[in-house]
Amino acid sequence: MIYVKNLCKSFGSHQVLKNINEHIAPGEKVVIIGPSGSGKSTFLRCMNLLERPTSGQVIFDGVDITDPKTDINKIRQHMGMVFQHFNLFPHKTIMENITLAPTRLKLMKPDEAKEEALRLLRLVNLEEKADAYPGQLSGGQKQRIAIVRSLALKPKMMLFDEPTSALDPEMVGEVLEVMKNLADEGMTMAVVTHEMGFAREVGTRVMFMDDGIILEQGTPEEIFGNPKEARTQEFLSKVL
Amino acid sequence: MSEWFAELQSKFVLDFIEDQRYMYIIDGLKTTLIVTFLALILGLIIGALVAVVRTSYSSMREENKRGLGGLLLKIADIICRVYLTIIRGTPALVQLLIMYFIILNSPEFTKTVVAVVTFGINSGAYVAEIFRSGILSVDVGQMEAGRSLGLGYVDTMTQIVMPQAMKNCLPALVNEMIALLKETSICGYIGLNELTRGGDIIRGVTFDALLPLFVVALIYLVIVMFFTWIMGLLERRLRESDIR
Repeated sequence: MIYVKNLCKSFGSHQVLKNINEHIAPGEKVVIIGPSGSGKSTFLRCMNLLERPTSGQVIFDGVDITDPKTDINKIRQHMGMVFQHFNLFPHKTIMENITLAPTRLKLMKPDEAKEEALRLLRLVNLEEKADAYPGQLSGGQKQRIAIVRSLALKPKMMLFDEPTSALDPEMVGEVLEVMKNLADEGMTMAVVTHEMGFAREVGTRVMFMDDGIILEQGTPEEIFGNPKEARTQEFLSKVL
Repeated sequence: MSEWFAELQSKFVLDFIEDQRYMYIIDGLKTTLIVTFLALILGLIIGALVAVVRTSYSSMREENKRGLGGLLLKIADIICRVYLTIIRGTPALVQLLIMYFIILNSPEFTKTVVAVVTFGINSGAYVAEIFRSGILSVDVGQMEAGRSLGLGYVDTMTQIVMPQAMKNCLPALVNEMIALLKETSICGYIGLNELTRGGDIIRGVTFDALLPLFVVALIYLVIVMFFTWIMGLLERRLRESDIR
């Protein structure tokens, strides 16, 4: 589904990603963990070019999206992204938040988009919030809406950038629940998170990133049960 | 007391009723409003263009700055910066005199046209910076969210960033409108018969300063209060999405 080749990213003289080579296959749920500043968010954001790699290639569905001639807007329709701070559009209602992109990009007629939005809202039990504004929702509700907003484009893959880090503890569960359901339906996912329980339960592969490289990776059992690298062991001993 | 009142009354008749002198005020007010309104429109157009050029150039990625589009935008950005520096760095009155005696010094340009052009260009510089700060006040996450949904830069700008930016800069924009209205009072310097000059002409004819000048001041005040009231209504409407 997505190949990353020799990916490097520097901010000024600071090299954040150091020559990463990776492949995520359809249906995989890759969970990326690691200490802060290890480059995991940057790695995720390079996958849909919100961060432009300094060098290297990202190939999605056979298309080199780092090629300047590629229409990145077209590619992004197929890669949903969920942010730590939700980034809902505060001046639009929940319904408008969800239907804006599908109708604006002429992928659906307004009626169709509305129907699809209601269907998705029902899935996350927020149907009654269709006409509310984001400001009236709790953090957990906002994040569930943000997930729905991405799903409205029927993406082939979803990227999650610390989706529960800005939430009050009691709201983490409801968001993880939605993500779990999504995983069960077979969605290809890449998730940067500090929720080790989620990583263990939902992840098909766990990557441990440290200092701009993927230091170690494997199944959740391997990483959590028997980490090989000293840095991984140290990190896990702190968070588990 | 009644004596003072009687005197005031006769002054009033002298200043405004005799020879239909109130027409100086009416015509002046008309001119002031026309100049303010047209200059405001021109200023908003110039301001929006300059703000868009400056923000899109500064948010442009380094590698895109090398192409032809990048070069054109760079030139546009430089022109905008020179414009802002000159207009904000010199007094409006000097700009008005330069416009009247040098740049638009030709019979086909009426004084009203000169005033509208001057104040439009002048106000545009301030409006540009207001718009720019409004755009910058919108969280970058909004742009990222729009782009990650596959919307283009222009779509994200017009659908998501601009509406929020407008809301944020509305008070500053009304402030600029109020300043513009009052600043048009310097048009008397090129002999344009606007409101202030209307009152001043009456003073010159009747040798009574008190009433004409106070009436002029009062009219400005009422218009400004009206603007402020309209802004309050508008702001309340825009706040709709802030209900919690």
